[in-house]
Amino acid sequence: MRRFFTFIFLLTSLLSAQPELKTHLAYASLLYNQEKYFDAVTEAKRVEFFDSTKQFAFETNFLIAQSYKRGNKLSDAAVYFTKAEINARNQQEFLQSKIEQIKVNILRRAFTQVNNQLDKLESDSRFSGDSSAFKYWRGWNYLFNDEWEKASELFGENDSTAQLKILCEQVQKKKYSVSFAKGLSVVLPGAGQFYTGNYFSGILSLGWNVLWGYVTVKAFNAERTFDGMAIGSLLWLRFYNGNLTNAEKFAKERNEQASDEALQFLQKNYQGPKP
Amino acid sequence: MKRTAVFVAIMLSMASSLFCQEASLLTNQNRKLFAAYLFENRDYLRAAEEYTFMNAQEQNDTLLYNAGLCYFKMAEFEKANAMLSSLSNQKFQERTRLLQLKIALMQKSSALDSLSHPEFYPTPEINQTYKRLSILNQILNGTIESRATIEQNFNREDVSSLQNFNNSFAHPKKKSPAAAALLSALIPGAGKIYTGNYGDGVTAFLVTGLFAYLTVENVYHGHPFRTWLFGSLAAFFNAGNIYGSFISARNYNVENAHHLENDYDTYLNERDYFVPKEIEEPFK
Repeated sequence: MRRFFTFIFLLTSLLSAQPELKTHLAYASLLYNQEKYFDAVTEAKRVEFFDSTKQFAFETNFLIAQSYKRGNKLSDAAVYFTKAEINARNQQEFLQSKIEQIKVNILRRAFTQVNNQLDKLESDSRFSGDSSAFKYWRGWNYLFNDEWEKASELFGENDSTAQLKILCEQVQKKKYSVSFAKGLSVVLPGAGQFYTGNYFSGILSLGWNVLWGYVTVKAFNAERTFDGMAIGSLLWLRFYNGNLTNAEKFAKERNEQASDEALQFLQKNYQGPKP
Repeated sequence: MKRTAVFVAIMLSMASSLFCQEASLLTNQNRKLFAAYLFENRDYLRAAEEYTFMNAQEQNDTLLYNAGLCYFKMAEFEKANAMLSSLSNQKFQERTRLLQLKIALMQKSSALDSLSHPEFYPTPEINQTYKRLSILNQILNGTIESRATIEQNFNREDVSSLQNFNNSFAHPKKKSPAAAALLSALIPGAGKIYTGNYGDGVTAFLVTGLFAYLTVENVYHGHPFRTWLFGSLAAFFNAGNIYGSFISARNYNVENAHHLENDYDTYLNERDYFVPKEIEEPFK
């Protein structure tokens, strides 16, 4: 009889343990939904600590990682998505945590790492049906690496991502060639600045170069060789170099601006899956 | 039979209620276990929150000490000091004093002297740690006069490094800003070379020399405008160079002191300030 009661007691305890952890995990999820990410991590970690049988290991680690990601703690998020992957109970959970790792790494701009991870997934026969998803995230990886043309090619392979393809093409069109801008300024000072739309700077650059070029040439013509060399090297050359540097700087700035605007547009307006 | 059924029902309900209390993740006993786990995993902020929450309920010095220790680990020294200072239990006094001494040393605070009273540190191990921290502070001030003081309290492999630090703090490498300015006034760029800025020194010498040469040339050729132009440029560059040399010497002294302090901090951090590990572990 005593054995029977002991058995009943243990059974009750065991049955009660699961709802306790489950309830607390639901509470952690609620905190996450309320955007209380710090508290969500705390409570999910609490469940993880007391979950001696690791029955909720995937859920807790996944929730912790998502909360860290929302809190912009991307390195911590990557660690916990990896832990979720280790504790995945099936193929779907494994893939889900892998994709989340890839998304975090895209945001961290770990370009090579993302490509390697996608290469591995693509070569895995278990996920042969998910190749369009892998291409999609590879496209985002190129997009975050400022390679809009390659991103556009990848998005173009799928009809559902035509909107992204168009956006990438638009950004690519907006971009200025840095070497072309510099080359223009080599031939005609200020022309590179004109090309990038910085007209005032272009006029100033042209003016300074014409002035000091004229003074230098005049000095040489008057056989004041030393004056010519001094003015040519100290003033003309300095303005000529400045003109080249400016052309390069403006082209890069314009390109960065175009990329940033596109990324901000995607963040605010794009409705599809985002990293 | 009826009795047995009632007994079983009572047992079941007791077991459930007992378990609910025992297994609740939010009991203080479980919170303590969880906080220790968080501390072990270096999640000090969450561990501090757990300890602080429990302390608000229990008013327990162990919990307060552990919370203070978490803030200490996060380098939030003000909060750590506030918590450690409010402890009333005697058993924490030694550890608390040592932690505060270490905080003061890390912050190079003047509070260090007020903590440096040997009577606070009665046990031999703690006393040894106190002595070490006190010597480390004296090294920072360059006030250790005998090598024997370091030799008696530190291992052989650390003695020469600490002695070197003591010498460097006692006799820091300094450049005189006035001497640098004077040198540059005599020979353009010489002050910069004196402060180790060789590139700047040579450039200053060449530019000022070039403008001075152009000034003289134009005097001989009777070009008054150019004489004034290049003369003014030469004077302007040389004035800038003299002032720059003065600043360069001052920067040299500041940078040197900063590098020395950084090196000392790195050296002490690598050795955990010679404080035994157990002092920075939470109380059970």
